[in-house]
Amino acid sequence: MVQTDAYIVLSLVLFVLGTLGVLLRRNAILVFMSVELMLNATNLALAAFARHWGQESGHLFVFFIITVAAAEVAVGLALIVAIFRSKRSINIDELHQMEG
Amino acid sequence: MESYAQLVPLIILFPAVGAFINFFWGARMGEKAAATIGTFASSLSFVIALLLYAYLGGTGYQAAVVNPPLLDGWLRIPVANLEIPWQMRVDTLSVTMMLFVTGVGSLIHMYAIGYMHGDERFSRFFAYLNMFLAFMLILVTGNNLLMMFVGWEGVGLCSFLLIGFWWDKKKGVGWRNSNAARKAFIVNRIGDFGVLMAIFLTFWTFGTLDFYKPGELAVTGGHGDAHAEEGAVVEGEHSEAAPAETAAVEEAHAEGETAEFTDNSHIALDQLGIFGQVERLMEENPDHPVDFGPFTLALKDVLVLITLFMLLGVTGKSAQIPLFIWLPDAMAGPTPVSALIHAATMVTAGVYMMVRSNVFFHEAEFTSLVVALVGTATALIAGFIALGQWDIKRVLAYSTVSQLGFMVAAVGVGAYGAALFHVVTHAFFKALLFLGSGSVIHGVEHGHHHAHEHGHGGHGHDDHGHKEEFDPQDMRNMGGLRSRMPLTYITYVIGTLALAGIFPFAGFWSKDEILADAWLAGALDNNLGGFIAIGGLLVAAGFTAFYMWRQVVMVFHGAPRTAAAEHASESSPLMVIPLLILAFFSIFIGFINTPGNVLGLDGIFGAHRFTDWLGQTVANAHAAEFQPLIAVGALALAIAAIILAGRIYGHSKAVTADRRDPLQLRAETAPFWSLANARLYWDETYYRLFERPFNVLATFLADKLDWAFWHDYFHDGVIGKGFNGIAALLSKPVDMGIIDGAVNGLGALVRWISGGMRQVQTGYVRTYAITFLLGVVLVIIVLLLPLINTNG
Amino acid sequence: MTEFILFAVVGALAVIAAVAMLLTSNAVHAALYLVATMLCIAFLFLLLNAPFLAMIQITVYAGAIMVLFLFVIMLLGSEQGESQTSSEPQRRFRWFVPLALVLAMALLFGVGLAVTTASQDQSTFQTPPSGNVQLRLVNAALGVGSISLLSGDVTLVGDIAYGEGSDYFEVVPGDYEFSIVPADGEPLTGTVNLAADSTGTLVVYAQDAGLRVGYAAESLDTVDEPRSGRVVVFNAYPGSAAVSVVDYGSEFVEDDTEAIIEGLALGAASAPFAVEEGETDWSFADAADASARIIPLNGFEVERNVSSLVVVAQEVYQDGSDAGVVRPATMQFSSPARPSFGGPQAIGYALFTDYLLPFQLLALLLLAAMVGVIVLTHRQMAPIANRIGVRRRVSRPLVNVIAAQVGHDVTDDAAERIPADEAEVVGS
Repeated sequence: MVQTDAYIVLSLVLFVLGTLGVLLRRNAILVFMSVELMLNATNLALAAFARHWGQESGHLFVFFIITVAAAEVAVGLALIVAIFRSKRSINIDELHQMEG
Repeated sequence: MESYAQLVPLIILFPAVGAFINFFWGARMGEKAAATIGTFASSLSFVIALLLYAYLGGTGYQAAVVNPPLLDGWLRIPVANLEIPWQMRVDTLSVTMMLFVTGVGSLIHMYAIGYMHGDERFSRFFAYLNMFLAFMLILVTGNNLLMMFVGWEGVGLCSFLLIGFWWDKKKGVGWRNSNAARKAFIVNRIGDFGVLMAIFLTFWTFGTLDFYKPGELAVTGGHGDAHAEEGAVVEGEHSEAAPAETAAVEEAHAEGETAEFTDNSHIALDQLGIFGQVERLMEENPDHPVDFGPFTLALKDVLVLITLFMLLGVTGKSAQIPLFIWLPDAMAGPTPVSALIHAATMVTAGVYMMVRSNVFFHEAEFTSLVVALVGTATALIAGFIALGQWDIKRVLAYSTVSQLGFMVAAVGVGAYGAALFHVVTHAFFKALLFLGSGSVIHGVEHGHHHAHEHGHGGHGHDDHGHKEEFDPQDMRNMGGLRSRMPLTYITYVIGTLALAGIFPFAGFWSKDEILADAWLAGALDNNLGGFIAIGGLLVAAGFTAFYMWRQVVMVFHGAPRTAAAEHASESSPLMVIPLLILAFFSIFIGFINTPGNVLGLDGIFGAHRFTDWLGQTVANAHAAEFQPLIAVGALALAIAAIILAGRIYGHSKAVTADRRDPLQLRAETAPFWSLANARLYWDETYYRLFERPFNVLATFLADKLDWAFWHDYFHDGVIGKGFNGIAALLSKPVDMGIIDGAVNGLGALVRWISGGMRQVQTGYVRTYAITFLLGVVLVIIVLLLPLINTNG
Repeated sequence: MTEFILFAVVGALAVIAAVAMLLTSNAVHAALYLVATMLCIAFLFLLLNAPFLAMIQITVYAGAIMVLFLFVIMLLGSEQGESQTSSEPQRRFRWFVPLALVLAMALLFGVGLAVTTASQDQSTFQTPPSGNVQLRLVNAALGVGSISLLSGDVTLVGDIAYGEGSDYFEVVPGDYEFSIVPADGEPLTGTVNLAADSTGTLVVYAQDAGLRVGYAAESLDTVDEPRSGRVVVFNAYPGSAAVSVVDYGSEFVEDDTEAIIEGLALGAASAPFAVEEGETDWSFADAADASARIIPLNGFEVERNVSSLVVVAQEVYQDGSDAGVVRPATMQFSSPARPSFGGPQAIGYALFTDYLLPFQLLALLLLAAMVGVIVLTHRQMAPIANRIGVRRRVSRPLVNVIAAQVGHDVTDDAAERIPADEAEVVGS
């Protein structure tokens, strides 16, 4: 049986990659996809722990996360579309109207 | 008969009620009603006085002490151990005073009906007159010093009210009148201080203020043969007499008119009145110590003090030196006022007080000397001033002062009876003279009206609106009134002769009595006061005759000097009848006290009847023997003075062409006459001595102390500026600087911080994300750091 | 071993795909790389005994969400990537990349070290624990009161009264030393070997005034036979040496007696066997003589996928004329079967029992998200004709409004110069 450690580390790597994507990409959609990557990484970690402890609640939580991710993606993409319609660009660096 | 004494409260009640009615409803009642009430009230008082006289005569001159019903219950003054009930005293002295006060008062009331006719405050005048009568009667009927003082003050008040009666006359005359009234009041006040001090000392020394307590014999020592006895206490409704004494007295009374007790030795010291105590104490020990706390004085010295203070009061009320200055100015009041108050009654209150306190003065020899000196000096100086006066009433005023000096001097040499005798006679002829002068003034005014303004309404004494001022009282505007006002002339001459002391008019007897007493005191008793008195009084008598005849000549003789005098006419009968009555009395009143062995008159009228009568009360009233030398000398002096005056002022030389006195033209008499005309600059001296320093001090205090220092400097400067300074300090630096600075600074600080803080909101999602990540990494590192096991 | 190789390969694939997603400039490529990553992760789910999850991942995530992504990318026409805007980062973000890398590395190493070098004492993350044993205690001992199960000093189960059974508790597999402490009487110690992933019951019974304990192995797996339950019988009746479970059948038919279990010795348990669901008509009989019934098993119903433990023991009459007399009695302990780990049954079961509320809330959330999306993306199709004027009238000051209403023409020149696209944007 593969040690849980490995899964955790893998999940961590994917998470960090997702973080980097969020920080470094300028395209809003790509940022979004990086966020999805992070969520997937956490799903992996959760499933690993579920197996480790033998409890299904980990699986359930993954289930919930997937659901929420779906909702979130829908709304987020709708937002991006709306923004695109008004600004004709989805470069997040151009979205700084709410500055102090 | 005895019950008549019970009526004595009524003698005060009638005038009081009359005053009350006239005061409140007199204006609505009209002149006739007001006059009737006033005169009637005073006449009733006179009737009661007669009844009291009858009572005394019927009871062997026993004095009676009456507690007025109802009132003594109210007016009891229980202070500490001081019980001063309002007790009234009916004895020969008080009845004497009552008789001539009410008698002359009633005549003057009648006179005033005509004199004040048309005045707009007619009823008020009669109210005041009645009020005055009431107070004067309170004064003379009081059985203790306090009630006497109440009356003393009351008559002073009425004097003020009446002198200033025409306070609303135009052209400054009203102001002058009210000034005169104020002067009278204030100067009297100074005298009142003396009386008060005397009262305080008396109470302190003797523990009581009663003249004689019920059950006590009037002091019978001295020269008199007196067996007056304190008769039954006539009980009012609230009698406070001690039963024991009442029983004893009643028992004595029941036995007859002869007194069982001849002295007061059966009475304890503290049950005696003030005079009884003095007699007993001075007998036992003249140096009886009186304790005043820090020091003690001998009784005789205390008596001197008391009498000196009393003298101060007398100089105020009876217009002696140095407080006589109010009396001449008091002539600003209507003539009836001058007649009643300032001739006959009020001014004699001082003499009354001294005669009542004869025991004191008898024991205080030093004071008697001072009194004699004061009286003599007053007589001389006032007589001198009268020589140079133009105003008809002013001459009479100074004459009054001079005659009062006579009376006071008589008291000073111990001639109490003579003094009171002169009071009585002087009342009549001085009132006559004043009323006559009033008649003259009235006539001249009428003549003035007739001459200048025919049909000018009213006889009012208000301003006539003349272009030139016409003073109806100036003798220079008169002359030749003899034919125009014959009755006035005749009565005036009678009064003048009485005043001058011409035999057989009243003044001769009384003045002669005084002179005789003075001579006897001086020559026989080696009394210094007597020496001075006899000399001065003789000269004053000469003055008197001179200036009175000058006045007669100037007013009545010769030719009229003005149109007013030309058109003068006799006054109404209402004014003339009192003149006639008074003239009658001026002739014959002197015979009540003829000295013995004079032309057999004593066979007709009896000798020393008055002195005897008075001696029932006044222990030291003694009848002097007739001194023919003095009498004839004084008479000759008076006649000479009259002739001299007639020579100087007669034959239309009374007034020179430029309205100057003949004496002014003669070089040797001119300075003296000017001095007399200027009234010896007495008022001016007082002004310099008292009023001006007072005004200076008052002005200084008001301007410098009050305004400059207190208001300007202290209030405005210190407090005002200080407060403003503090307020400015608080407002500018503290409020605006510090507080506002703090508050604004706080805002600025917040703005600065927030200005910095808002830089965090860059608006870029990236920065937010990286900040987020930074935080997360930190938290995770912190949490997971312990788990890192480097061994594993 | 194969598992590890599989893991390594798939994991590497996932990482490579993720990196590729990050580095590519083409959005569509990035989406596809992400899909690849998700597929790898789904495979890893399978390795983790989570088949259901794997299927969900593929269906929902890779199948729905990524498709949505692709839709939007296509819609926005950004397959060109970021060529619309300058690909060069702006000046202000020059410090960004190093910082991000630093932070990311910090995160990675921090957590990684923490995870991999965690203390040995705790349950390690390396080896998932072997399947724990489900164990429970049943008190069939008459006359000893309530009993407790202690392991060492730890009380695992306390105060089980006669006739009661505890819940299952987990213990680590292996030799298990325990002690049973009755309320009255001497404690009993013993050892039991518990196999991994096994389920069993310790039945305590009394024999010859002493406590005895027996172990009954059970299975909580779902029954393979359809519409069947599982039954385990334990003999705790000291009245006879052995018992049999017999179904006497109908009294009217001879030789209808059917022996379910024969010869169950005292303290022994039968193996779990499947029984069709429904009422049973069993009785306990003496093993020597099948017709000598000890006690009927009344009211015993077999339910589907339910594991039942039947115990025959003794009890005391409580009241009546025979109070204090000992007689035989039966006990039943039922527990539903557990679905296999990671399967849809397990997840469904949990969803609809313990996690029902979040489940429903999530449904609402999805509904709200749907509505929100529609609202957000709804493009107004109203005619533009009066839009500018309408817009202008609304935004003018009130005075002008009134004036316009009164009749003045106060059209503003400035207002007419709104650019066409902005007006469109305003209206949209």
